[in-house]
Amino acid sequence: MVPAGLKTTARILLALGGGYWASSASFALLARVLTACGMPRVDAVTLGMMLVFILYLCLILWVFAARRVWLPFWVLCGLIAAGHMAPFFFTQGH
Amino acid sequence: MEPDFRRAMGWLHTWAGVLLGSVLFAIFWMGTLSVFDIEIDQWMKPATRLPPAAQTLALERFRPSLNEAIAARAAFWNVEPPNDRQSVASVHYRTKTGFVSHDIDPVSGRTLPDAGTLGASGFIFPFHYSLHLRIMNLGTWLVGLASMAMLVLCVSGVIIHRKIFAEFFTFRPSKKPRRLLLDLHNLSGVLGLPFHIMLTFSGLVILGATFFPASINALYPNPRGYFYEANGLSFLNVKPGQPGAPVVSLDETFARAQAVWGNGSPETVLVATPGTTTGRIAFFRDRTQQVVMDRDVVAFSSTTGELVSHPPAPRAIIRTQRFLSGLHLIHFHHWVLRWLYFMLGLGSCLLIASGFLFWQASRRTKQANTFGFRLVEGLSAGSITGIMLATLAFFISNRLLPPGAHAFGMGRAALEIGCFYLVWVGAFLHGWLRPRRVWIEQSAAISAFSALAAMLNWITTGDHPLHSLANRYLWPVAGMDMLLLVGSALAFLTARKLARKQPGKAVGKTV
Repeated sequence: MVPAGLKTTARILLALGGGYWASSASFALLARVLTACGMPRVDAVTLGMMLVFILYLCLILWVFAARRVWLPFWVLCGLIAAGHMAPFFFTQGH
Repeated sequence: MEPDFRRAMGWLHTWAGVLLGSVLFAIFWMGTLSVFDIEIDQWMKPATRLPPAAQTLALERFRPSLNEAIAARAAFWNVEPPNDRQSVASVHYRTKTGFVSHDIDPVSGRTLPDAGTLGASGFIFPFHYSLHLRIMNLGTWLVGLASMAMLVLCVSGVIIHRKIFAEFFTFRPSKKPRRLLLDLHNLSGVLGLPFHIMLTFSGLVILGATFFPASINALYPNPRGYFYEANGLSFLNVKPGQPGAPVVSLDETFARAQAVWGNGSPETVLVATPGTTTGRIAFFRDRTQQVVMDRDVVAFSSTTGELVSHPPAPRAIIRTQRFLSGLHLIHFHHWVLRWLYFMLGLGSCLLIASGFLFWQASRRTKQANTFGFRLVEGLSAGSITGIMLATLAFFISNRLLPPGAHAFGMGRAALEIGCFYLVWVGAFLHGWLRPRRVWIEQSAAISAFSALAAMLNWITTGDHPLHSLANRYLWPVAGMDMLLLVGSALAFLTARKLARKQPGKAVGKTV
């Protein structure tokens, strides 16, 4: 049995750190996808910058609300992986 | 909704609030005061309390200051002509050693003596978004964390209140202080909910490039590229030129800018890298009649005077972002709305303070002797009434320090800020040492400090409230004095009420 204090600490770290990393990575991905679809890059970045806070908020709330922490954990990992693999698929960025 | 979910949100609401309540209160308090930053500046710099000039000063009259900037190899130089919030003009430039700022008399064009203060726009407003912690941008990140916590608090607060509309109409001032605090918390929370959410969200979006640089880094080789493109400032994107080039006549260039605009006046005239071969003169069109801060900038070469750029009006997404910025920064001029922002800001402060105090009131009987409770109790007075006292000490020191004061190796402006922190730390110590009496004593101190600040303004400048009310151009000073006096009276009533009901506690809400 995992002690309650450790569980809480894990959730806080996952929500703040993991949520931040996942939001940041997914919006880097979104910006790449939108520019690839033809949106000017300044618009793509700005749109992401407004939406990213809403995603981060939802992720934080979800991590704290979920009964088991594993589902949010894997989804966050997936978002982070997707965001960081994007540069290999989109080369026209710079 | 399942009870588990609501319990999780309740837990989150409690602990996010307790952990970040102090920081949130400081941010909202300073933000509320920043609504009137220019007006507070006039109170703190008596030399700038001037009637508006009948005629606008020609831009060439600022040439001596521009020449100073060129001699100092400034990165930029700008002038803000007088507007309806500020009757003086001001010039600013940045050199390698620091930022230089002067106020200019709108009639004679001479430089006003340095007031030796950062004022509200130089201290209170930056404190609002950076907490004056500049090391590694720590303050800004802490503000970001607290803002995310505020959004979490707003959402979880709505979820845990099932009877949100019943609570809308529930206010029981005669009940126990604990009920009173909860009712105050619910009332200010529900009434101001759109304000709390919009202001927090737009504040985050304004600093979005700092908090989430990943998408910029993914698409731009240099983050500056995004900044220039999003703000219509691409004319700044030039290679550094050689020094020694002349700067063409500002007034003639302005006439050309007006021909481009058709009509309109500038709110800022910028000369980028003045005196170099690639220098630029840019005119930022006055946008104080609309919420959206879409810059309309016309830029010219500063050596030849020919048009460099006039970007088209921004597209929808950028405009949305500019609207959020405008909503937050209140760049528009509208007195009624400005007061409404101020009142709603005070409502947010009340929301945070009452939530913070409710947490203690509901735990006092059971956990009064635990370390955690003592810690929060000891911190709460310093972070609520303490920051008000510190702000008042900032105003009082501004009126008491002689011009050119210098002590402990600090100039006058730094000494004022020293007074702010000294009183703030003192208030925390006071709260730690005397947790039972602290609210009464600090409310009484707020009352005394506010009255003293208004009194000192009268003694040192001669602008007593009746005089300042009778002269339109002194209304900012009158407004500040009135708020100080009203705040003093409210704090006095609070202190008296608390002293009668000891040990019951309530909130001391003042200006």
